[in-house]
Amino acid sequence: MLMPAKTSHIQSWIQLQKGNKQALLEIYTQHYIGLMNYGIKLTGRRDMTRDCITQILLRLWDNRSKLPCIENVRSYLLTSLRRELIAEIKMEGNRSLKNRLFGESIQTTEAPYEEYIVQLQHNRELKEKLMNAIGQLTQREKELLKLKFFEDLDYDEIAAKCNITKRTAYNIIHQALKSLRLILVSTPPGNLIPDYALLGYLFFFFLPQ
Amino acid sequence: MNYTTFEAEDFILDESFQNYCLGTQEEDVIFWEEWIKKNQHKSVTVNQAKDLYLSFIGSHTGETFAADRKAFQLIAEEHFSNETAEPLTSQPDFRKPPAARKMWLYATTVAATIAGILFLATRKYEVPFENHKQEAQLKYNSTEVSKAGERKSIQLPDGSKVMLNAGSTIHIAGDFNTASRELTLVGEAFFDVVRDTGRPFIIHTSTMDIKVLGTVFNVRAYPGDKTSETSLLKGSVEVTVRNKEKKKIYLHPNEKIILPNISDVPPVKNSKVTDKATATENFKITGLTYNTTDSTLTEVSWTENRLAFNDNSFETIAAELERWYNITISFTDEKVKEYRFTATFNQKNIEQVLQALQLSRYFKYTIAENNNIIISKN
Repeated sequence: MLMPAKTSHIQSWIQLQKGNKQALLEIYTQHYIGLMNYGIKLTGRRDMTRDCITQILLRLWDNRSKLPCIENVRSYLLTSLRRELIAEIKMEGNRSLKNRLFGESIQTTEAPYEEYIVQLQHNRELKEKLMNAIGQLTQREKELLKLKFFEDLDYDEIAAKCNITKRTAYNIIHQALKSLRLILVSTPPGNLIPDYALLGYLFFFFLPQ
Repeated sequence: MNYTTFEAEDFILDESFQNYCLGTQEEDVIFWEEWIKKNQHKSVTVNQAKDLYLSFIGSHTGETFAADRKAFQLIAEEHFSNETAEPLTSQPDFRKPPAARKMWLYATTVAATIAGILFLATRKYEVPFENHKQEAQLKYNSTEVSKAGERKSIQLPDGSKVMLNAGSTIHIAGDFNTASRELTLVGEAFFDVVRDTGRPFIIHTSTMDIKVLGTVFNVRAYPGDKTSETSLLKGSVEVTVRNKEKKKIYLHPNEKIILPNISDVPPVKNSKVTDKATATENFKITGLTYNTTDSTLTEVSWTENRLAFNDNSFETIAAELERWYNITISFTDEKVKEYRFTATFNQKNIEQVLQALQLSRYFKYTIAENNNIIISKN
């Protein structure tokens, strides 16, 4: 099913301009994954990202009568969030915190998507299996999975970004998920990778690239 | 749609299934829960699809999403109610509020109460109010004092809660809860104020007056310290700096204002303020400080019985330790006073604390009589 998510994004935006309170919560829900992931990856701070998203949405509400009509709600919000986070970081007078922030953001932005999501996974068994399985995907497949799920883009946007058709985008993602499933199914349960190998693998990804 | 032939990848790419995994759409959650009950043979596939989907989106879960969205909703509702509450305050005649407005006020009070309860449940730094079993009820025109080494929880006549840090005093006026809710603070306290738009809650300290309607915040105003601070966790506060201009500053959540202390005199409106007024011009607004390890807030870690320092001088830390452990600390070397430490201590005794600090930068300490600790370079 190739449902363009954008239509609903624009509808909520128009409702917001009209002063519909429910639309604000809809916008929060529609862009939660995209905005949270963007902010956490940028700053390494979940709470700060969450609070900044709240701030920018409340400001949208306050300025609802003056909001422009836009085509891409997501990119408008991403830009606002980026500005808000940068302002927030600048405001933190604390030096050690700043150091930590920039230290972390360098680390997280440099980690490739597959490493990043594996790192976030708490379930150890799944973590090990995933690491093995995602490693077998092509670069293209990994990139499209990231755009589709982590950045939460719709097929229109993915197609435009990668210069392919919507159908091709869908097919690549579907094929990638199918390969993943088959690898995961063929992987016996239990300790596939011994602990020391796991550590070594993680360490490898943390090396500056 | 016939979902029974679906493989994990098909579920993962189904928008309704995605909504179910994160819990974004109520109707999809209901649909899929029902569907899974009826199609037990697909449960392995469904669980695999769900695990994979949640992994791919960055390990957000239904629980974290629900908590974040609920918090957003409550803040937004508070924000909406502030919008409509504005004309109320500028128009003091509300002896007979229209029914609709009454309802609205009632609704916002309920929302604020729910926010308060949720806050208790979700925020770590709220827990102390529950832990402190002996919660004193503070009466009108009375004073509550916490000695060094002691922390107290107090409930005010309006239902607001106050937690007093060591070596602090709070005085509540006889006319508290009539036109306004005013009290005086010397020392440090954490406030969870019950919302009451008709009766602003005002805290007087020697350097600033803090006016709020209903929020959660921490005030630190120890006379011996070099600075005073107000840290806002939730809601909004209006701080009036006690200088000639009576400058008003509004704080946003996660912000704090730091003011240099003008003198050691208790918060009495005295005439000496004028010549020292320039000192209070140098106020600073910064963000709150998160602990690097667990992202809790340094400003309020004391409410959880944790001592936290973030790049503070040994001199500042010593003042805090004196109050916390009811001891005295003296330095024999000026340079040692300038050593800087970042640390968090959870229920440690004074020796454990000093020993831990020593590991970061060496100094020598001797415990003398009467709980006096002498710190020297080596």
